[in-house]
Amino acid sequence: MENIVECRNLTHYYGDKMVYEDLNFNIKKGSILGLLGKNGTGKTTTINILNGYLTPRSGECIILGENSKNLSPYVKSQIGYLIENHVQYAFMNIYQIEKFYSGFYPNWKRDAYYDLMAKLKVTPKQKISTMSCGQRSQVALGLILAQDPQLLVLDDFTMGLDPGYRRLFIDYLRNYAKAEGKTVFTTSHIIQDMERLIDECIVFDYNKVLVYMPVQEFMTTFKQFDFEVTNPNVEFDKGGLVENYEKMDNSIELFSYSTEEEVKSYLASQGIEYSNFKQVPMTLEDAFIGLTGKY
Amino acid sequence: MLHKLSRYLLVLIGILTLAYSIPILYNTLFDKRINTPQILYSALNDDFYIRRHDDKKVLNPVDTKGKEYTQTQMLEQCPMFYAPSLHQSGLLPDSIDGVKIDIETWHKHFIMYGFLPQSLMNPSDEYRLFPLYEATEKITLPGDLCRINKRVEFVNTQSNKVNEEKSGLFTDAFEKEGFVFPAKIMAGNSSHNKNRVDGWFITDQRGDLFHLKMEKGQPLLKRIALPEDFKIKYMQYLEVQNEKLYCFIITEDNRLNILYAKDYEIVELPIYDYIPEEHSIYIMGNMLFYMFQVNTENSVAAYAVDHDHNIMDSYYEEFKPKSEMLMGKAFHFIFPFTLKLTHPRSDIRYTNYVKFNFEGFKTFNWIYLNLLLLVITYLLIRKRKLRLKNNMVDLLIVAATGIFGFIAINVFQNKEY
Amino acid sequence: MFYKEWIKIRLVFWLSFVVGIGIVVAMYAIIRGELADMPTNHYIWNMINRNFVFFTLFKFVPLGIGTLIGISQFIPEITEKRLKLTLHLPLNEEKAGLQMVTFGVISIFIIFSLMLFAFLGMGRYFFPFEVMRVAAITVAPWFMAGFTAYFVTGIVAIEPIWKYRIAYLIIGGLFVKMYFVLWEAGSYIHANAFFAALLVLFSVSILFSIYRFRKGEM
Repeated sequence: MENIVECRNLTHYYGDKMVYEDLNFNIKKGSILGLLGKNGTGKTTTINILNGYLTPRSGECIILGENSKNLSPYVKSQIGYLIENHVQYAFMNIYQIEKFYSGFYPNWKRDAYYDLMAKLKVTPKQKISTMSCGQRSQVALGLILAQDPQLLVLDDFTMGLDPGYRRLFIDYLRNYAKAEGKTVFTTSHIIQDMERLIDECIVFDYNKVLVYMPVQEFMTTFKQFDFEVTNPNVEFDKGGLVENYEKMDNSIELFSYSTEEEVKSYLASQGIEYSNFKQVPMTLEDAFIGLTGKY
Repeated sequence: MLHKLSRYLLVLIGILTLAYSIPILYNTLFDKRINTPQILYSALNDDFYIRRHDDKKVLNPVDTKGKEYTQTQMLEQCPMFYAPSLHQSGLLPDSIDGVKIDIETWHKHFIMYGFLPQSLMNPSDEYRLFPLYEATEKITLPGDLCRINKRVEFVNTQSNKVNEEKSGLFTDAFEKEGFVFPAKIMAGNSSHNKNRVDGWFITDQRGDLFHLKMEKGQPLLKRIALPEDFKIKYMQYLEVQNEKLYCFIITEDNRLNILYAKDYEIVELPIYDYIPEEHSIYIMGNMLFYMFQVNTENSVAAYAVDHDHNIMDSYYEEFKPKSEMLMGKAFHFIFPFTLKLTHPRSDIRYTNYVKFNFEGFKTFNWIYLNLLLLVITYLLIRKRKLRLKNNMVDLLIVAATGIFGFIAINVFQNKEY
Repeated sequence: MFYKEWIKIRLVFWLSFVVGIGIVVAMYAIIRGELADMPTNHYIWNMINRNFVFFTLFKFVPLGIGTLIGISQFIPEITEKRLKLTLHLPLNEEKAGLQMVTFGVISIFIIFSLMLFAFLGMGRYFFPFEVMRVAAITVAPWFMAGFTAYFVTGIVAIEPIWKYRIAYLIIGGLFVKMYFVLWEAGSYIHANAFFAALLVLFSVSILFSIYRFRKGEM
């Protein structure tokens, strides 16, 4: 399948502070890629590079065949961009903003926008700045739907949304993307609900990429094992088999890509006595926290 | 590409702004006043007296041989300058060199006048409107203003309309006298606080000089014969009580002339090296002699001239110019050039005009700082890991404009992405 | 693009328009009163011989208008980094920037032209041509200061780094000061053309800040 986005060897620093080094990823046409990470791990940086608002220290991003440093108007028209916090021209009302944007896009789908707006309880002259966060997210989404781009870039769109709007947004987006064959690149630090949306995920930690694989694969291979140890002072070496672990008194939560048998034999080889060993089912959020830790 | 251009334009604007502002700041902090002495001429001793003052007090005057006098002694030696106070104390001599002196005749003949660049060139000349006073009646400000463009016109200030009848009358008189419209230079006294009406001295398109008066509402225009190759640059009317003088005229070749009332005689004065745009000249006249004092930035010259326009005596003194003082020298080491919109008000050359004057320095002292800044710029380029190729223009800018360019390229930074 | 710019500035535009014209009208109302007390010939004589400037009232008004239009146009762009939206429009980024500036300049030009027209037109009712000619020469730098203030507001607002914002503000401020070096009528007769040329150079300056913004300076 054709790649809509190809990022090669992206490296960026803010001053001397490294954000990441040699980041590589592709987004296939029609797929939904989620970039997950805690605050400050470089999600927005990646989005900025992708949209040409930031030039990386080295490496490049190719979007629809063009280097993101210099996107042509055509390619820009094929990227729907939702800024963090659903930033839009808040000094306009929903009619003004539609009128404004429609002038720029020849294939503007006016109805798609107004269908969505009809579901909002806003007065016609209400400025976007006076709307609730949820309403603003719908306006921003509606504009992107009307723009009808090939690629949707959504920066932390779940931020500030209450659960209802978040679910609404995600379902709407997933149906739309799958029905129309759109490619989506989204970031989020709220993982809840993400598994309903994304096909592939990249998990960022500070300075490095922890995971880059399809969500399905991640969810099946990444496992959590709970058990109790007799010696509360036991420590595990990270890396290798143990990806991460959490300890509360005698209870251990251990996260690993390995099978139950491998973990058990690992514990045995380390001479650790344990009891109540069981594999625990995880949501994507559990897995995310398990992988990146609570802090 | 436009964004690159926009940067260079901003750098250029930055350089101009800094070349204007920083030297002003420097001068405000460090400027030293040059105290130009005042020169007097004594008809009693046929010698000059020099009055100096420093920042705090007036020093005792000296003569050209360096002999010191008290203030009172000098007053007595220069009766032509201080006649009123000598008269009060009864010390005014009855006669000097056989010429009888009394306070009334002294007043009649006394002239004290100064031409500075700012009085010769003033933006208010741009109005090109003047009041023409009636010569035969009590002097009051007329209700109309005169302009001389394609013809002579009188605008009634109350109604703001042209008085066609009067305008036609005057235009005819001008044409009859061979005046080529429009008028160029005008000299006269526009004030109504005066004792007599001498009218206006006006040059026409070709540079010919005319004398305009109005008597009983009728135009009175006389052509004034000019010496050969006489091109008027500035003309200053003065109202002298003895009615012997009309104007001082400065020609294009910077010669100073007097236009006398009698037969409109024009006489060249033996004053040399006077540049009206850069120097100031002070003129003092009385029944015995004229004295001219020409001040430049770093010199003062005085000429005593008799009434036959021959130099009787002259005095010249040079002092250390600012450029040779510490602050001036440092100035030249720091700034390769400056942009002046006006000269400082303390400068002789000050006028009320704003002009873009670049003063590039003839000395090359600034080269050291420029070189240093060039090296620093080069090091900064290396430190920021920029390509030298992309910064050649910046290096050239620093080399050429020194401190201004250095600041400007660092404020508007050249970034590579 | 102009539609968005218009929505941003329309309030300030009308306000500036009303204030600008209002000040001109108010000024002549005052002059009418003064002319009732002093004959016109003495009034004009004071202008010519006493450097009396009858229109100092609106000296800084164009400066204020330029700044306000700049603020109303560029501050909404940088709050929440909305400029990203503008740069994401399917347009060349430089073109987008220049369109914004063009719109601002046209708006200011309209206000200033009407002010100047009212100023000179009403002035001609009271005073001869020469008086208004010198007046026009005198007010020209004030209006140019208005345009300059607009450009400076733009580059300062869009510049992403505070340190540089302050530096631009200082240089911009010193530049604006050059329009107010002397107060005498007609002083700028030999400088106006030079300033006008510099103003043209200033007009594309906004691209520099936009470029820095786009390249992710922070």
